[in-house]
Amino acid sequence: MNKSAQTEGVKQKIALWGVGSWGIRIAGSIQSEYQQRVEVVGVDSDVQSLICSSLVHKIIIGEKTVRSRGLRRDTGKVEKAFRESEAKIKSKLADCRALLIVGGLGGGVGSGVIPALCNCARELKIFTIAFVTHPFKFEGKKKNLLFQKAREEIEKGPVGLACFSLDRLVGRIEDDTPHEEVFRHCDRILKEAVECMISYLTAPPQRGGDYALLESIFSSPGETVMGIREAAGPNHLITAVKGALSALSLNATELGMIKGVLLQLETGGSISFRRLEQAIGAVSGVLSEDVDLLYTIDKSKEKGEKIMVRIMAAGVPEEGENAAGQAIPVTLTADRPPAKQTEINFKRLARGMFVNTDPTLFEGEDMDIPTFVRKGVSLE
Amino acid sequence: MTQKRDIITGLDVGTTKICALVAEREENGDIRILGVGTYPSRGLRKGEVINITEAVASIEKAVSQAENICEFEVTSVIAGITGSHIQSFNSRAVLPVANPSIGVTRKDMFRAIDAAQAVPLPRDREVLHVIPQEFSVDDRKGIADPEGMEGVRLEAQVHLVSGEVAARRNLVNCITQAGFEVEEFVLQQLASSLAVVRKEEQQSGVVLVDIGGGTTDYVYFRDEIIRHTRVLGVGGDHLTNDISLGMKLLLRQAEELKKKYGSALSDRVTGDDELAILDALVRPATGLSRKKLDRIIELRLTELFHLLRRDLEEEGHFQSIGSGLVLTGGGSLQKDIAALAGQITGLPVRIGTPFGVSGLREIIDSPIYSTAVGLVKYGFLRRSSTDRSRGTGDRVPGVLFNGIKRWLDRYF
Ligand SMILES: Nc1nc2c(ncn2[C@@H]2O[C@H](COP(=O)(O)OP(=O)(O)OP(=O)(O)O)[C@@H](O)[C@H]2O)c(=O)[nH]1
Ligand SMILES: Nc1ncnc2c1ncn2[C@@H]1O[C@H](COP(=O)(O)OP(=O)(O)OP(=O)(O)O)[C@@H](O)[C@H]1O
Ligand SMILES: [Mg+2]
Ligand SMILES: [Mg+2]
Repeated sequence: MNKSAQTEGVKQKIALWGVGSWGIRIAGSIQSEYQQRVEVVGVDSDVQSLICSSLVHKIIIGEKTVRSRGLRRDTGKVEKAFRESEAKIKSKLADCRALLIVGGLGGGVGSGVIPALCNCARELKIFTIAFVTHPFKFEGKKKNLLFQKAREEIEKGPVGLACFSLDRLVGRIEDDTPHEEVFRHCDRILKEAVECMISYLTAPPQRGGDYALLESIFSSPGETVMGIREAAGPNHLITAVKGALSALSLNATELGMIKGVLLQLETGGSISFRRLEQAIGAVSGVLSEDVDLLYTIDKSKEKGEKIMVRIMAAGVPEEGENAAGQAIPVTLTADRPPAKQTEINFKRLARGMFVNTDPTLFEGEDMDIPTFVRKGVSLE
Repeated sequence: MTQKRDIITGLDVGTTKICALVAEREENGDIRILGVGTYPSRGLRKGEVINITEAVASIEKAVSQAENICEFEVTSVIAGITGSHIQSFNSRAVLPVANPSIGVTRKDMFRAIDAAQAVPLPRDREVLHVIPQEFSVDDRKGIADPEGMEGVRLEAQVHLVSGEVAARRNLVNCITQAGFEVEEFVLQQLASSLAVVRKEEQQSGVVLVDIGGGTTDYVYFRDEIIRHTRVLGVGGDHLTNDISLGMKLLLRQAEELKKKYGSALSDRVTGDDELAILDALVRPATGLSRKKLDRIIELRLTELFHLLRRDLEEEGHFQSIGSGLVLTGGGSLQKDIAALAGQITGLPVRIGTPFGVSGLREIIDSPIYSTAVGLVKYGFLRRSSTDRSRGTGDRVPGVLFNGIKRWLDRYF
């Protein structure tokens, strides 16, 4: 990366941390051109999910406390696990300028670790935005309760929160869509949202970004939505912008309530000032007058003359009522005997003859790792 | 004085084995294999060179074996290329017909093809093959040869194969250091397809899948046109690696077990046997379960065929594969693999072995030799087409008229 631009005493690194099984998968699926611009780290208490991931930096938390498993809903243990590994985490964060976090707020790891990580970043004065999902209703009350608590904790600020509701994401799909495709759709939205933010924070030449404004946009209550569209041919910019706006799937009232927008244009060609003016005009035209709008243009040779527009909008009012019921005490399972803290060699464990080769990546999974390990299939 | 002999050497630099094949075209046009040399590959992973010195030594060994059999000295080779760096896509360009009053000329066609391949690539990548697919003249689409047709707009559609410059350079370096000149590179699955896929299959839609040690390479044909190619960085080595990790065996023990007992279907045998391996010197391997072995293989290959299927679906080709799949490469020797592929894709599946050459049949009659046989077949087709076009000066450099005879015949 741009080592030459590094100035003494100024923190330069931007980090992306995937938390929990799902967060790690999303972080691993970020396109390489964006991945190169940040340090991508996976965090989990579950060794299995770290093994399967192709990420270079992996942090396993709470080896003693939870013995390398997931945490399910055992939030009591999350704190312990996090404390156990806090030193490791803080030293990894020490030279970060900005931190992006991604994970599902319905799992034990995600809902426990993301708020704690935000606290750490706060102490270290690192600019932070968390990309999280609100669990599906069908995942049940307990998970939704976990979500609620975690969200409240994060919202104590000053941390940006981009919260995507899974129910909303799948709201507009056909009833007979296969479930894998639905999940893939959700994965893609989160991935694109993170890429869009990375682009804003790192796209040359302006490089940097307006943190104060970002923070104000992403600390507004409500949900975040994302619209993506690619277009080619004459008028491709305006076509793509309009398509992306409509992909937000919001009605006029909802559009009017949006607090802020991040607009990203990605193309190999050049964009004239007039065209850009027209495109931004098309976006602000459908929003309220005092909306905050940030934009970034990313040059990508691969796109050629095509243009890709991503719009991320924050502050959308939540759909329906609150999913959380009254507080249910979390039951703790019996303590297991403490395990020995050991260095785990992820590579040796699962890559065998491919130990020294680059991973064969496919949608964030490393295909060099045995299928039975990645799919968690027992052979006995 | 005898006439200069018409001889070509194909060099398949695979992840598992390097194979050199010396072949001669006889007076009547028949291709006869004169010499074969195979040697285990060293210094390659997933289809790409990772250690030049080791790779050079293996190449030298394979070629000199072939030379010894036929007493012919090899100076240049046609080599296969693969690796997960390979990317392919279709591209098109529209140009005005230069002189509408005389219709589309050969020159117009080459200009349109030339324009269609002018796509921006990152600096570390290059175009390996430009394969013409079809033309449109004004609103008439799907024309194979528009020469002489009247119209004002000519559109060419091509299939472009690109790869990393560094990967090709590494391969060139290895072969040159071994003492041979590279006449041309051919994408491995294109070569294999020449050796094992029939014309009627190419017409009605077929996917040729070359499952090697390091990669799985495939190409989809329809109407005798190459519509899609792809390299997946997963092959037989992954099976071996999975088995070695899952059953706690050395790699060579895992390889032995895979070939000797392994099946792609885990429910074929009822009950469970204990397996024995010869190579148990290092560790007395006991309690090896057949069920477990088959399960590991089945999981990996199921995943592979699902990826293949999904890719073809996403590209919009899956519905038009009239003739099904042809599996080749060493991986296709895995027991019950055709049955598994059939279960997952619902398509007819056959195993492809090389056809259309004579000599040393007892050796080359195996899916392992498809790429090498395809390379020499390609070389001869190419040689006759350039002979024919010599002097006309209208070839676009770097254009591979895909080795499908139809194209070679028509355009040169
Ligand atoms: N869209 C989508 N959401 C998912 C998927 N998997 C999980 N999620 C969401 O993410 C939340 C967290 O799940 P995980 O990441 O598996 O949980 P974890 O944080 O690792 O914690 P453990 O429960 O201890 O394993 C779930 O409650 C879901 O709401 C997926 O494949 N697609
Ligand atoms: N009888 C068999 N059963 C199962 N697998 C086999 C058998 N024979 C060979 N193989 C496997 O086939 C693979 C080698 O195939 P092949 O010789 O076509 O590869 P290659 O051309 O060297 O590699 P690549 O094309 O990927 O660079 C090895 O993984 C080997 O284990
Ligand atoms: Mg988990
Ligand atoms: Mg091969």
